[in-house]
Amino acid sequence: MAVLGSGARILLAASILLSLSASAEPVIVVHPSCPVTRLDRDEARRLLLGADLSWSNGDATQLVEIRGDDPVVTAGYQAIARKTPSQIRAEWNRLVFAGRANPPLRFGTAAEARAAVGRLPGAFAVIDSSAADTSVKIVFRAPGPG
Amino acid sequence: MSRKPRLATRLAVGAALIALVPLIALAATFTLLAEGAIRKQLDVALIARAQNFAGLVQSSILEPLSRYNALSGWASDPQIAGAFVGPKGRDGCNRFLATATRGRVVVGAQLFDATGRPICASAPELAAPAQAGAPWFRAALEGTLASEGIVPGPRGPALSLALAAKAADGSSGVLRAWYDWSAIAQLIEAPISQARLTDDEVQLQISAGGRVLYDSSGKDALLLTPGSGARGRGESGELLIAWARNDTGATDPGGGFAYVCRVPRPVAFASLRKLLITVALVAVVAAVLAALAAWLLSQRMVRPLDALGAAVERIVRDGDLTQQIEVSRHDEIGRLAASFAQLVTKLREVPRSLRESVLALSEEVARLDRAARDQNERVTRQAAALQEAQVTAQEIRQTSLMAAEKANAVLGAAQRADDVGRAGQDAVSQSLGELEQILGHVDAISRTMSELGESTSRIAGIAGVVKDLADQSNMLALNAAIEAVRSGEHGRGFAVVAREIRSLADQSVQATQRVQENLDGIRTNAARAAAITEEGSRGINANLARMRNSGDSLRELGSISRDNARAVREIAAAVGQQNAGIDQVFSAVRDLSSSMSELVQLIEQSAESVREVGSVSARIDGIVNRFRV
Repeated sequence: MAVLGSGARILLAASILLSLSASAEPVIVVHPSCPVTRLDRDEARRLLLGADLSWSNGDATQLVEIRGDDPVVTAGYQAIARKTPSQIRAEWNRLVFAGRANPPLRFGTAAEARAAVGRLPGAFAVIDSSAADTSVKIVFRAPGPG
Repeated sequence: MSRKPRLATRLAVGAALIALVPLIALAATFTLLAEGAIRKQLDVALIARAQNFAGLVQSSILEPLSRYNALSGWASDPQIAGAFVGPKGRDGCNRFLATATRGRVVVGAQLFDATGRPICASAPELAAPAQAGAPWFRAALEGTLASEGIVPGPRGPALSLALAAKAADGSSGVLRAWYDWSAIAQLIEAPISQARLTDDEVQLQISAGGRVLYDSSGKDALLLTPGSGARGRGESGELLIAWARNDTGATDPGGGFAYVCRVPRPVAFASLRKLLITVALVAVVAAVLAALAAWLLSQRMVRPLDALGAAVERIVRDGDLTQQIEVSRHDEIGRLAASFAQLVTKLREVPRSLRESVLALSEEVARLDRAARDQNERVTRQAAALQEAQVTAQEIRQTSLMAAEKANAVLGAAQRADDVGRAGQDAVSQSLGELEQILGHVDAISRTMSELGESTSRIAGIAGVVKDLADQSNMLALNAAIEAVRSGEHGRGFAVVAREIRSLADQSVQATQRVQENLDGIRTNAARAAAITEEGSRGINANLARMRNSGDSLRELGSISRDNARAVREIAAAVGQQNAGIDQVFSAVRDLSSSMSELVQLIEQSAESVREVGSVSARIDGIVNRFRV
């Protein structure tokens, strides 16, 4: 099992690298019911750093993350807010402790994260554009590293 | 042929053991040493990890929580300050807290006055009084952020935080908030995974007050009981554990939390196990190789031995001594083969000489057999003769015994005769003595008689003298009477005396005459007695002489009878000696007889041995004939 697991992990990493080299594009996806259709860079930064904690329709924002080091996410955070994932996480912890925001939700894969975004109103996530589908809405596209 | 694989197998097994034993010993020693070393390193690593874990949670969660907690914002809110002053303010406070705790992390809040009395709460059911003396309450009143620890909250276990709140009138109270612990615990995961503090092997746990607050493996993890102290290590079942505690006060958020990291023992020692497996594999391979080498070597060694074995088998089975043993090696086995070839060469000579010897032996045996038969016959005859001699000796012995008895009887008779002779002799001697004594008496009588005669004569003389005297006295008296008559009257008296004297003298003369007469009678009697005595003495002497003669005869008879007895005794002694001699002869004959029967048995045995030798030589002959030379 362990061998299979590590093998699967290697395959996954390989596929991510491949996808990166091919068309790695971090995007911000939101719930389809979100009133926003497009964010500019600053809006995206404020959203990601928790400066804006509610959408225009009053729904609280909910950060959805992928567990571990996802290069696309890292690249996306860097591109949007010029911060590392842990810095983003610290920012959100601060908000959570202050009672202003809900803790970010974490999932194992981009697909799970996307599914969660598609399920929860007010949720958003930074994922690879290739993982996005019609269940979510892409509101921001960050320029990829490559 | 079953010996070949056995030797090879034994060698192979021995070699495998020789290869295995040091490897196993090495592995065992190494395992012991390595286990200790690994354990030490592991402990250090685990404690370090627990400390990292504690530090990470402290820096990434608890410190931000203390710094950015919701309470510091609320405490300065006019709604809170206004709550102390009246029911209206309280309603406002209730509403404020209800709104503020709508999120998923801060799940409830409460405001107390300085005595712990509830003023307002996010929900009516949370409006319970607090113990004003509790450490957290006092610490909060003093103005620091204080935690009661993990307490039951509106939605399960919650981290309780409290902070002083100022009233509008300047009095102070305590504001308390419940942080849903599960939401906080979720936040712990990210920094831990980023710091790579957990993996498949090591799991982390936070516990406080006997409750699991966080576990990296999931929610239903078993509580691990850490020891006291800032850090340490231990074991819990099959798990190796290490723990660390942060240097926080009892009322600080996270105060009393123990950070435990654990690793299953098999996982911890997996490297060692791998090593052991490797060693075991190496040992097995080494053993197999050694066994194989030993087997090949033994095959090489056994093959010439097998050839030798086959040769020996042919010799044993067919007696084939004609075969040639090839010697192709120069080692010990080669030398053995050469020696064996020499042995076979020598062996070829053996049956031949043996056959000749057997032939000679058979002849000798036949001769011996004949001699034994002859001897047997003779000895049997001798034995019969000896038997007869024994019977004769027995008869002689009995006769001799009888002769001895007779001699003894004669000896007794002679003894008795001797005794009787002796008694007679003694009687004669005694009679002789007595007769001599009588003779002595008679002599004495005779002498006395003659003395008596003499005395009578002398008495007669004396009587004569007395008569003379009496005559003279009578004369005198007559003279005196004459004279007295003459002297007249005066003489009368005298004349009486003279008469008297004269009568006396007369009486004396008469007496003397009677004495004379008596003496004459005595003298004649004495003479007669002397004559008779003389005659008696003569008779006695004659008797004495006869007695002496008969005593001599008796003595002679006694000496003859003694001679007789001596002769008889000698005869008896001779017969006794003869008897003893005959006894010796008899026992000698008997010994001879028993020796003879032993001899007969010996001869039987020797005949038997001769027959045995004959059959043995026949067998040897058969064996020798089996060999092909």
